[in-house]
Amino acid sequence: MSRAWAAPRQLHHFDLCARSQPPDVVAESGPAVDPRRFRSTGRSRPPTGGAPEVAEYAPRLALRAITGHLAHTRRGTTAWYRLAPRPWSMRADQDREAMMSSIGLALAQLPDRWLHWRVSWRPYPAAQWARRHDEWATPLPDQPAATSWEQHLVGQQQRALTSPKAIKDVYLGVEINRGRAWISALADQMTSRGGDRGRGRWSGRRSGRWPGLQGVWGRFVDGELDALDDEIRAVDTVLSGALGGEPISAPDMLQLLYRSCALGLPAETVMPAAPTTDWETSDLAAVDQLARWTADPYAPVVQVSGTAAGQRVTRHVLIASLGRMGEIDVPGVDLPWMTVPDRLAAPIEWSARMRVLPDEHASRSLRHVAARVEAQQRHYEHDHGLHAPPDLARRIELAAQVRDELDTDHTGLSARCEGWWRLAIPATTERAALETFDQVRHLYHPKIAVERCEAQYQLAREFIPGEPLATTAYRRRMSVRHAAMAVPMTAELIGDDHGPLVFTSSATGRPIAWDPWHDMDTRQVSGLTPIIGTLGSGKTFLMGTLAAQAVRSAGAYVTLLDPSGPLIRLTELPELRGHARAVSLLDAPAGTLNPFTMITDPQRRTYRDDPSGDTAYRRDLDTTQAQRAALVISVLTQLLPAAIRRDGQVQQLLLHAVNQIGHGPDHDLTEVLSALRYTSGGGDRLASSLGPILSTSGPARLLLGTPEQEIWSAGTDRLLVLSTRGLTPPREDVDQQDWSLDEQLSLPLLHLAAWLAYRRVYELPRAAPKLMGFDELRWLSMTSTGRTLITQFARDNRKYRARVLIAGQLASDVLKLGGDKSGDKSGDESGLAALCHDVFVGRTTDEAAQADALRLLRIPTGIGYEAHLGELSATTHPTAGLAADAPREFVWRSGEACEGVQLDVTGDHFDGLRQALDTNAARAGD
Amino acid sequence: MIMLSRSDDELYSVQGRYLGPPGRTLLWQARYIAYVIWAGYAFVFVVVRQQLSLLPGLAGYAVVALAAVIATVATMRHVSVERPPSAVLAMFLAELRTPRHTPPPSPTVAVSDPRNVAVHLSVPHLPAPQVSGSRLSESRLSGPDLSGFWER
Repeated sequence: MSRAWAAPRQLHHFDLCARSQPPDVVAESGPAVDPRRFRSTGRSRPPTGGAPEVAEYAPRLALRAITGHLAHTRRGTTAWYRLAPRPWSMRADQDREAMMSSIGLALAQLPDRWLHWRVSWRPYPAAQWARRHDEWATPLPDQPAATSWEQHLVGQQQRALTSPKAIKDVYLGVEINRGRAWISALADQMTSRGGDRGRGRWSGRRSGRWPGLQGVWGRFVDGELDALDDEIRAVDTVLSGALGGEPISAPDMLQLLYRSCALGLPAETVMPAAPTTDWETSDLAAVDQLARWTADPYAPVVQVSGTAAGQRVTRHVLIASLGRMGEIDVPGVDLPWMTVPDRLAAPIEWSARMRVLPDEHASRSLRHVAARVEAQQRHYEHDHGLHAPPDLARRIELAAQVRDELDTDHTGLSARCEGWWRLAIPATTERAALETFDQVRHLYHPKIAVERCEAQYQLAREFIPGEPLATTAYRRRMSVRHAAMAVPMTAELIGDDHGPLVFTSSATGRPIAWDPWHDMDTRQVSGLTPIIGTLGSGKTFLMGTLAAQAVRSAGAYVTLLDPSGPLIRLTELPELRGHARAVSLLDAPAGTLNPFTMITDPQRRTYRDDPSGDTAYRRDLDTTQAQRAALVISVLTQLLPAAIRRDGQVQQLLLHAVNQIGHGPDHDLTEVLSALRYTSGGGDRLASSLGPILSTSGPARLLLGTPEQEIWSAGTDRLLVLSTRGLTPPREDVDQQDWSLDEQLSLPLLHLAAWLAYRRVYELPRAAPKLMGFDELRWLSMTSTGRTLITQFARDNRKYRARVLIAGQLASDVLKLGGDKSGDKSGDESGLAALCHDVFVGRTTDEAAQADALRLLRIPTGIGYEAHLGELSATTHPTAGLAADAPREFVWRSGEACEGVQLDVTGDHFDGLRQALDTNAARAGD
Repeated sequence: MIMLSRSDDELYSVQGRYLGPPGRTLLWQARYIAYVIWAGYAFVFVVVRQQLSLLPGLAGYAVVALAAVIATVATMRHVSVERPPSAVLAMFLAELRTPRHTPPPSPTVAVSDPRNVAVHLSVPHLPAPQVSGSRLSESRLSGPDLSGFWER
């Protein structure tokens, strides 16, 4: 595909006017005068009253035109690319090293070209998100005296726009053969003399007054331009590889020019339309006039004044340069050196000009510097008999090393490059800019020096594409390998930009949207989601927030099992009024947790109406009934005293009794007890043992009988919180023989409550989004019925669109599920944990637990990430507990992505949610 | 692959010093570039001295040499490996070309709003001007009081 080169025909306009007009003359169009009016009189030009001379517009920029992703100046052309973001945090070192090597090799393929790196930031596209989210969401109807859906969306957008640096844009401009630019301009002038100025690429070059000459030029220019086309295609290919560069689009080019010409000003949330990729010279007025740049003599900053969001704004922008670099170790110790300031709140931008030196150039340069050093050493020792400074000998050795590296290393990463790296630090005042500059210096200390110098205005101009280098001061020389360690395009790649804004990135504050069902629907991944963390790490807060957002935005059916009580208050949120119900299981009707009713028989009508449907139905019915029998036997086994439970005959007797009464859902445990009493071989003894614990006066009444109706309303209850408050979980580190009756009873009741929640999934419409949240994973994973339930979760959640959140304190509880129960760590990957697409890990302090949590997150252990888990949510005051507004930080693994995130429920529209989930009893007023 | 990496900064940071002719070590040590800058300053100062006819005689040359030394020392404070003299000069010139912030000029002619003058006139049957109260009060304070004139 040939590239459009129409824009250079504009070049001559500038050439003509630049000689006669000051550069900031504003173009005005004069009245149109028809030249034919004068032809009729026989005069070529009127003596008076002719067309007024119009001052052509000449931008103050070096840019003269843009064609597609090519930016033309009078000195040459630069092809601009937007580089794909790359994940960095929580990655294995070998992955990072491979990425840096591939970037270095890509750079090495662009020798002797000036490269212009530009790193910029833009706010979160909140308006687009809100529009998409509104289309996707099925919110609950607005309630009186509650935050309406519209207010909710507005609040979410306001919250998302608090950070000016939500999205990182990394652009790379690659110089296309500079020497040929004059050909474009010359051919354009000849074309325009021919009078054909209105059509596309070089369309008029063969027409005109001198067709023969034009034809010669046309062929010559054609050949040159075809050669440039081939060159651009080659650069495109290199950039599309490891760097993930795509030719910059029209909106991105506009964004780049806006962020450059209005350097430091607040970013526009709504950009002007960018309908075309071609910019003529006069079009550049759109960005040229964006801001006025001034600076006082030798001032430390440049003042940029312009308008943003309809208001006059002035920013003080300090331009710093990277100074001398010491020895760095990326990724072992140091961050990629162009991402170090990312952690600061200020949207610090980068502009770097660099080129990879051809080998012969680099060798010549090294020989020259080595000769200088040797001459200096000779001057000391031979000419004056003095001891040369020791650093001279060290430099000679270094030069030899580098030359040897160049000669022997054939990977391409030893190629040398040179460049200038500048940072633009914007602030509202000069003092604030200087303070941020100090922070940047401290961040780089002691490995890399950060320098500030005079000529701030000219240095700031470097950030604009096409502008020349202001000064050769602070030139950096390094290998391509060293340059590749900059990795400026690292960013957080997590979330799906689809659902509610639940999280923000811990590193940059970028809002992260997550729709719990999007990946399940589109990528067929498991919805089983462990949430791991110590006490107070925010597990319940996360579960409650996800639940409330799911109900609020998606109208999802949410069932939460709440052992301690705070989640009940979610049902009192005014926004969920009429759609939420809290049920205390201890107050529920008798038979609510009847194990026979926990598993629902399949419905015949859901199968095909033919013999194959019959077969499938009977098979599933048999499976269900067997599972029901197993559940009943398991519950009864748990209710037996530990000493009796170990008897080998127990399982046989229980199975016999259950088989006697049948496997249907219309039975209950009293029938099993009766059957046991008439079973020979010890059945009577078992029935007697079960008698005390199955007393109808205690919580055991939940197991006996059949409830008349469900405890929830299938039509209206979107949020159902099943509270098990009052049950006494067994004490840890106490032998089961020493458990009290309450403790012994509580375990099967907790399990059956989970089964009850899961039964709701089967009864709801299959296509409806569902979310279940279970706390106390530890108790679920202790017994076979609990593990069976989790296996069921893992197997069925995708088919029923059920996102299952299981919270626990120890990752080992998840790791041992479905895998090697002996605790052998090598078996982790084959277990249930490997199926989990999403995992959240909060603060974890115990060393063994940290290692397990990293294994669950599929993060390499033993390289320092353990300590990071202990620092999550570290803003908590040790005596105050987690404040309602304190960030709950988690490491979130979602498929291949893994990032540090924090739960974000700031904003007035989340007042109710924050209060409901505040676990601080004193503050909550409990 | 070893990822510990260093730049070539140290390699290129050599600053050549001229110690003097072989075997005759000078009392001072200065970079080669300092001598070049000194020569430049000395030439300029000599021309200036010659044009202004200042300090005739050998003493004048001595003063020029000393002044050049002082200027060179001052200049070399801004010159380093990171900031070669050409870059320092370029940045100096860039500072000269930098646009300066100029406050907007104060108005030289004040045009009063006719309504501010009219509001205070007690002319019957004229509709009251539609202006805000604050503007009225300002006009009362600043405008001429003509009520007595009209009543007369």
